[in-house]
Amino acid sequence: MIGENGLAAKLLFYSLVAIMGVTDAGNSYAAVAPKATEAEAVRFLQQASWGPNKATIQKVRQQGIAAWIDGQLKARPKTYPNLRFYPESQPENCVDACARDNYTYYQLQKHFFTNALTGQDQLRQRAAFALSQIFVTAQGAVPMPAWMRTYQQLLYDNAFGNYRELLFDVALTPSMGRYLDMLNNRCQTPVPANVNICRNGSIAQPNENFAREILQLFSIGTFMMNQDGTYQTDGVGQPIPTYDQAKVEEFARVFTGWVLAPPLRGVGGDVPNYKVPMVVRRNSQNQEMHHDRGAKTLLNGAVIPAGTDAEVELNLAIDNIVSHANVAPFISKQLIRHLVTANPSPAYVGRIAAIFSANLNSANQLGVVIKAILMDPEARTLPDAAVDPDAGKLNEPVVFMLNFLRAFEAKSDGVLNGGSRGSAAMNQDVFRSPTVFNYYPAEYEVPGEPNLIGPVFGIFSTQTTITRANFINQVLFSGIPVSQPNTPKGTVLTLKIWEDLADTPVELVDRLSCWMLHCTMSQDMKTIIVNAVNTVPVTNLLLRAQTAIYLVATSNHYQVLR
Amino acid sequence: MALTRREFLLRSFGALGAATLAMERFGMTDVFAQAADYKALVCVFLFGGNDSDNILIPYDNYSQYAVKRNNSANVGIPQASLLQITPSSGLGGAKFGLHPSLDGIKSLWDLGKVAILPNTGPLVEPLTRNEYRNRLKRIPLNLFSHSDQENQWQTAVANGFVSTGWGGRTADAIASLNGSATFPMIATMTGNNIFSTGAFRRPLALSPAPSTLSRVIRLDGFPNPPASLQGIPRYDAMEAIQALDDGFTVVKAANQINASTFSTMEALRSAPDPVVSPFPLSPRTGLGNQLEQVAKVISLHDALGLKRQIFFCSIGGFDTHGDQVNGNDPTTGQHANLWATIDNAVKAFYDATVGLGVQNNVTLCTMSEFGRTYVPNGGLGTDHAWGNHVFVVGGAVNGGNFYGVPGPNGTVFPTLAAAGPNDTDNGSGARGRWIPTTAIDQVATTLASWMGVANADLAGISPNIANFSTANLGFMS
Repeated sequence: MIGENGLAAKLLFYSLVAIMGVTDAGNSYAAVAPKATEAEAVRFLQQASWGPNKATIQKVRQQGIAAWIDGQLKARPKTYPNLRFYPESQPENCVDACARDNYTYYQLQKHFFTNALTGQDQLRQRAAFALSQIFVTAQGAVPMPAWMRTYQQLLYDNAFGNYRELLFDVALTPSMGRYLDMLNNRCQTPVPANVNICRNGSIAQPNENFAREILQLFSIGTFMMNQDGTYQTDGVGQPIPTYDQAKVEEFARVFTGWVLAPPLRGVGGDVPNYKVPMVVRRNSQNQEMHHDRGAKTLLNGAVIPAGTDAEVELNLAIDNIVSHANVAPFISKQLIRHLVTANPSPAYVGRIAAIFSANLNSANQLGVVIKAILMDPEARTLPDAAVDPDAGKLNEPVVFMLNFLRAFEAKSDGVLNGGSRGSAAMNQDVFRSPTVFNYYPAEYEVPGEPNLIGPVFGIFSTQTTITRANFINQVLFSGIPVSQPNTPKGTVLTLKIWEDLADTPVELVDRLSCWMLHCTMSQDMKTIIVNAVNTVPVTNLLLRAQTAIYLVATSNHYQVLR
Repeated sequence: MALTRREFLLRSFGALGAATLAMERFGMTDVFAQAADYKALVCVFLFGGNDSDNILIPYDNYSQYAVKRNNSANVGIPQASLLQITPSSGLGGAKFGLHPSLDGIKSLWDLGKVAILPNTGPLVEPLTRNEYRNRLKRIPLNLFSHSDQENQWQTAVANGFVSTGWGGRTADAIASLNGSATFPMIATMTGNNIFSTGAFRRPLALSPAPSTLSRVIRLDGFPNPPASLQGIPRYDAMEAIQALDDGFTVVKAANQINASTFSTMEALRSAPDPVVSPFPLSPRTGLGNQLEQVAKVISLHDALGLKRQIFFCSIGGFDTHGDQVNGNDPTTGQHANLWATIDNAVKAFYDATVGLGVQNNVTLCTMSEFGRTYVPNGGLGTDHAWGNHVFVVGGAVNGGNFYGVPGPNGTVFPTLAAAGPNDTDNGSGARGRWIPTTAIDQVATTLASWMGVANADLAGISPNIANFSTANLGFMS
């Protein structure tokens, strides 16, 4: 007896230490029970992984949420397949699998899904995918998968790293350079000419695309925020812009002079180097060719003096951006939205922004921030509709699909993006969003609720709701069939344990409530499903189980995480 | 002073309080009889920012255009390749030229079915160059930003954030004209968008052709059309679950979309086959497919009991920062191809409306989030600008002319001059970003009026309309 109590006390102590140990900024978490209930584990894993399954629920319950997160922060990332660098113009002999693998995103997407289904570093994958929706690049301007692989691997490797370093690396990744036109961007030749300002420029002003989007989407957003994510206003109640057109033009001048590193040995000869960071073009006398070397005024009046080398200037510009007060709330709010809730309270945003700021120079800044997001009381508390009816987050297509497949122990080849029931048909074509504004607008509002954000509603339409239901119908009732060569193994669920419960529909539905909805299914919904199951003959246990699962999976209680 | 997002949105609407109340009125079911006539509005959004300076070009005054747009290193369209048109009034008989890709639209112009609104864009209130440069008047928020300018074109509000679009608000305002029909008035062929979102009504999202309309919303695992699914236990259970939200707003909102999906599905399953032939476009194009499906839904309006319909389509790819044209032949290249697609699709669509006998009842208009810099950049491309030209096509259009509010040169067409009287910019670095002289607000109210919105209700369509000289630009008969 005493031994058991001592053990329990020890576990409690260590768990508290584990929680406190991550409070670098001196914040403390509300008391989180060291061991999670099944429902708590299910709900947590719907936020922090691609979906709960038996193995991960067990781990979270054994270790406790904090320790599980710590383990995830240490888990090593897998690598995306190492695609060979082919020339952009497709050789005649590269057909079938060669064309599929090297001229479409098939391999990247397949890896994304298989890693999500079976990879151990679930939280890192969620974080990387969230970052890929903030620092967007897409196939629209990055045709080759080998180029995109470099970029996605960067986000994946640095998902728990330092934001400033990541922003710098993103700026110099050639895929991003191509996507937003920083690659080969040239200074404007001054009149009269002056080689000390611009040695070999163009008649026009430099392209503004990257300058605008690095500010608008990757760092500070368009309006001044308080540290809790609320908007500041001027004397007449109007929001205050963070920058204007002139500022965009100044940054555009910074982002000039960069080109691809020397060509790579690729397939069939030398190919453009979309593997290593961009470099500054210099002539044989080591003089910059296309970089604007004039003085510039950046955010908050910071001046870069004339004659600054491009590499130094890029660092100064990134530092200038990252030192803007908006970065902490702007980025924190987005990460919260991707993982936990679309409508965090200002207090929640403020807590996370404080941790973001306190860890600005830490190598593991984003890891600390993500842990804080998940451990925050607002994330860990089960919402009560009577108190907070606006709680809840509509799941994006890949989260919805993967949650379902993991919950039912799917065996899959990961070919889940294409086709009439894939994520692309639900308007989330992985790594191929239509624009730099991601698959859906970051501030899309819940229809009919003018002041409630629901970004995924941007792709939840009368068409895509049907596609979601049809995906469930396919994998549940028949599985995705094998189709050589592109669907080598198909996708099939493991339904035996549910079949075994199907002669006792009340118990079946109760279990499904906890397994899929962290035990929140209402009695009314349970009754409806039990009645539907009972219309299927008891001799067909599989169909009874499928009927129940279908009704839960297609309901909006499953589409919406609360 | 700090604001939560809710407070922020309410405040930015503060100056538009009257309009807010006007919008709320639309929720009440006015007891009007169903309209006697049929009308449909089709909006085509050109995403990316269309370089309309290369689509409508002065012909007689070509030398003005050519100052910055006709040397071998840039994007200028040669005068000889322009398709000549002469607006019937207000421009002194001057000839203009359409980009060579627009031969279909040109033929419709010759039939009097096309009106052009030059230099249109978001405005809070009319602005001269001096007022813009010295911030003497209010200007739209976040100019030159794709997402903000798209929103402003679609919502007709340039000085705040609104969650509804002028298409959706028009549908709210005239909902009673569809009588007791339950099929949605608005359909989008290109996914959710704010233009189609009303305060009380959500758009129907449909897939483009060649998807069969009766199956375009098809729940797998259930019998094929035309049988109804009511009475099948699993389907009935789904509908019953759709009515449960446990008090959570987000679940309720999602449920409403499902409910709308299911009722539309039932309506389409039992509707007759549309008598619209596939468009003569080979290969099929995205916009062609969208407009073909629009034509099919239009053909079913009687069967669905609809007297008013609004549609939203789109085509992307206009953000031509580089490689807008082919260097050796600027009449070809990316922009030319995009407009060939538009031109072919719009012409085929107009012909389809003729086939259905509704060409005088259907109006199509184009929109784009901004025009592009008159002065190109170094990469055979152009950058973000502001005012751009709108095309309105249909049998009810007072065609053959340019419309809008005259600018500093006394006409509706801007002066194409860097650092000129229409340019936001000044000095040797001026890029030629035209300050619009016509507001999208005014275009919206003109079209809404044509659709049947009463004058007293136009402030609900464009909350800032009182700031402008007229709510009816006169291009609709």
